[in-house]
Amino acid sequence: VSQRLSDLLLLIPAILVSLSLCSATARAQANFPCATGSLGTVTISPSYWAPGQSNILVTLTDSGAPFTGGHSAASAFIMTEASYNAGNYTTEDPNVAVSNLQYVSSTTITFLVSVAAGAPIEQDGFALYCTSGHYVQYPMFITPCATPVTPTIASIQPDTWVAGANTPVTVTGTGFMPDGNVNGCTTTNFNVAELPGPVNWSNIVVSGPTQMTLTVTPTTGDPAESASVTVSNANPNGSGSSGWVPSNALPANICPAATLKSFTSPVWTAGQQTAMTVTGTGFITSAAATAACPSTQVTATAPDGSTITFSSVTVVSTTSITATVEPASAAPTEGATLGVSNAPTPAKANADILGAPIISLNGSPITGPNAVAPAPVTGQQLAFTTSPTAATLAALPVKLTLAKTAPTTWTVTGGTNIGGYTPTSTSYTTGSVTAMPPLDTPTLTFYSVYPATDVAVTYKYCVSGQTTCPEATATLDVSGPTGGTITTEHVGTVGIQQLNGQPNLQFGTTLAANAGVLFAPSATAPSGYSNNFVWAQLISKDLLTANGSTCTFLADAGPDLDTEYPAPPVEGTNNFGDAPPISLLATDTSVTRVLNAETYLLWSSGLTNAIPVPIGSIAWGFSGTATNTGTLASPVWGATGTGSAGSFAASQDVPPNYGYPTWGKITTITKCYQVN
Amino acid sequence: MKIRANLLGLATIMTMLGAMNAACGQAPLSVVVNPTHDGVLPGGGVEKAGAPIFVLVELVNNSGKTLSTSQWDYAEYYTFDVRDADGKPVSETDALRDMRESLKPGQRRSGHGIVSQIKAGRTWKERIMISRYYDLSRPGTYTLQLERKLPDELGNGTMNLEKVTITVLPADDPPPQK
Repeated sequence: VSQRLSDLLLLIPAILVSLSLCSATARAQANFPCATGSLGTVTISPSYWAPGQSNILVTLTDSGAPFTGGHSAASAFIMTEASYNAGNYTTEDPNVAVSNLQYVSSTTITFLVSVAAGAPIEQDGFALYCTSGHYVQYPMFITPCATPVTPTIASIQPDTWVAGANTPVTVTGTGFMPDGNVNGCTTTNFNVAELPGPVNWSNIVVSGPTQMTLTVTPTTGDPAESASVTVSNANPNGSGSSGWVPSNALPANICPAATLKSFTSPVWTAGQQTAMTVTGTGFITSAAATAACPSTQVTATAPDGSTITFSSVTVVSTTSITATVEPASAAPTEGATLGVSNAPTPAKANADILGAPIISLNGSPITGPNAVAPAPVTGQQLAFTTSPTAATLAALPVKLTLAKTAPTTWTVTGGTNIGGYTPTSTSYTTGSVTAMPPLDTPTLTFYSVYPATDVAVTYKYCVSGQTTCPEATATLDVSGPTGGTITTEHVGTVGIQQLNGQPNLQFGTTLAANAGVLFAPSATAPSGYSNNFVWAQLISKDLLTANGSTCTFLADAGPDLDTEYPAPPVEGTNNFGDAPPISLLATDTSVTRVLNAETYLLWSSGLTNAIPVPIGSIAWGFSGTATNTGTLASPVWGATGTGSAGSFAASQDVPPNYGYPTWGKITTITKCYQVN
Repeated sequence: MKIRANLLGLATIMTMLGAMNAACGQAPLSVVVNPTHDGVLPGGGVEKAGAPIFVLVELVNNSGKTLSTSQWDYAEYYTFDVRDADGKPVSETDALRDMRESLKPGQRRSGHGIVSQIKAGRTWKERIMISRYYDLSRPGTYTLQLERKLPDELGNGTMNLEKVTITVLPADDPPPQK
């Protein structure tokens, strides 16, 4: 009723009583004596007329008792809305016919109204003229709602509401009057029959003649009970109970509210069952359950939408539920939200799911739902990272830390893997193979030296306080060069050669084709790569004996790097050559040199941060003596000796060097310069 | 000699020396010297203290004939003048003194003995670890002036290369960009 009154206040201007004099041209059909000199309070009923409605019996009352007999033949005067609004009260509405005006009493007259079927929806006016010149205008409405439609409701979704919870509800049916007072019709109302605890509703939106939406909020603390839902349309000509036309009634159910206070075991492992006890209030036991309000269920959701399954759910009491939870096996590490089915407010994220870790190789995931197939190559830097990280775990609803007593571990099975190879083209004082790094950190970087298939990289992480440690395994097929070898193109002879104006005892000559040794590399590069060869040469023995004095170039036992790494190839080729000379001084009578070296061939993928991988090596050397058969003043040099190169030895997958050339220092042959 | 400096102020300089090649109007040997961070490509010029410091010399044989150069003992072809930001000579290392000593007449020399034959029109590179020969361990700016012996086929002269500037940062500074 209050809604209807409010609508009327919005739509109907206050009754306007004017005391101005009638104009001389005013029509006189409805003039009344108005014995009291003015009009009193005027009512007209009904004041809502529908287009096409005929012979509406209208009763007009005026507390000023202006009516007298003798005017029964006179017609009333109904003016159009435009005329009314313009202050011209003499333009008769052609769609409204007034007839059969009857005098009832000094305060009441009646007449019949018929409205044309095509009459526009508008607000008309009615004028009473007093002979003294007073008149009254009273607004009436021409609207289809003058004969209200009886609405129907077909469904209420959902029709079960939790006490205290805000439940969005959709009601469908027919005959709904939409929002906005379309055609002057008051919006259809929603009603729930009164219950011990009233149901509140808000946010009603009647979007059309067949649907309304709203939010229903039963009173907190309501017990399980039924409700009766109706909608109703306003009857503008009615009042009180007749002011609304109700629909049929449909039932709805109200279930008592539950609250979730706590639960045990809030950290769950994907694909594994975890038993828990949920504590709260208002749980519906199976004994207390009804069809409308079944026993309380435990629910859980995860951000990724994966299914979280509950089993063995038992509502032990109104305050305790036991259940077993199992997140989907593919669920990632993420927060989850555990709730109960009849809680009025949704729970916040309150649990953790520990999923299998995601292993990424050089930034791309190689396990998990977005995994891409890795295609590593020998020598490529394999930088593995993982999630969850410590930061990820710390950001979960139940903050977690990586366990220290059950450490995070990597397991690498298959392949030949090292932590690195130290020399670079700018830093080669020493050359060594670095062992695999620690395997108890969330990241791991290593290199595979030789081609291999099914290299299994497993990462497992453990969380403090948890007994299970999720793990994931990635399988790598490492490609690399195959069939690599070194071909000996040339082995020179030991002789005397003039270099820089001096005689030298030399193995071979300065031209590459006639060098002491000339090696050619070959290999079949893996698909997608080309051959990029790297040479390195180690000197294991370099013994110089001049005029009976001996100097060992290499003062220690280990092979030294020959000059620099990598060793330069013959310009314009991939070949490597060496023709080691030793100069003969004017004071020399006999110089002997014994040199043993090993030349290594390595292959590089050329990838950023890659290291070369060994192909193999050839050991070679020479021994020769230069003898001055002349005099010191007029030396005549002759040479004896031979050199040779061994067979190619493919690099061996044997620790600790795995076929790599290693050294502790660079050759320091200058220490022997003074031997003479 | 004609010198052209690049806009970055790096010592990317084309040095042309000797008589112009009559056929193509070019110097018989053009040389570009640059710092190199990775020992392979030009670039860098800013290194952390303690890191090895290289320069990369790229030579182009415009002479129309084959030139000879040591395959990997070419450091012997160079003499160096390395100065700090105050213009003072930087301390030499034993390695430089030993190399210099070995090059004196009457001294015993060794090496690899193999010589590359650079055909006409070909380019070759020589990288030199300057930090092997000079103490560049202290942060600061250093200026390097290199002089290279000409290939035998071009006579007995030498050529000056354009100066190169190297900045050495404290070891704990962020690493230089490659």
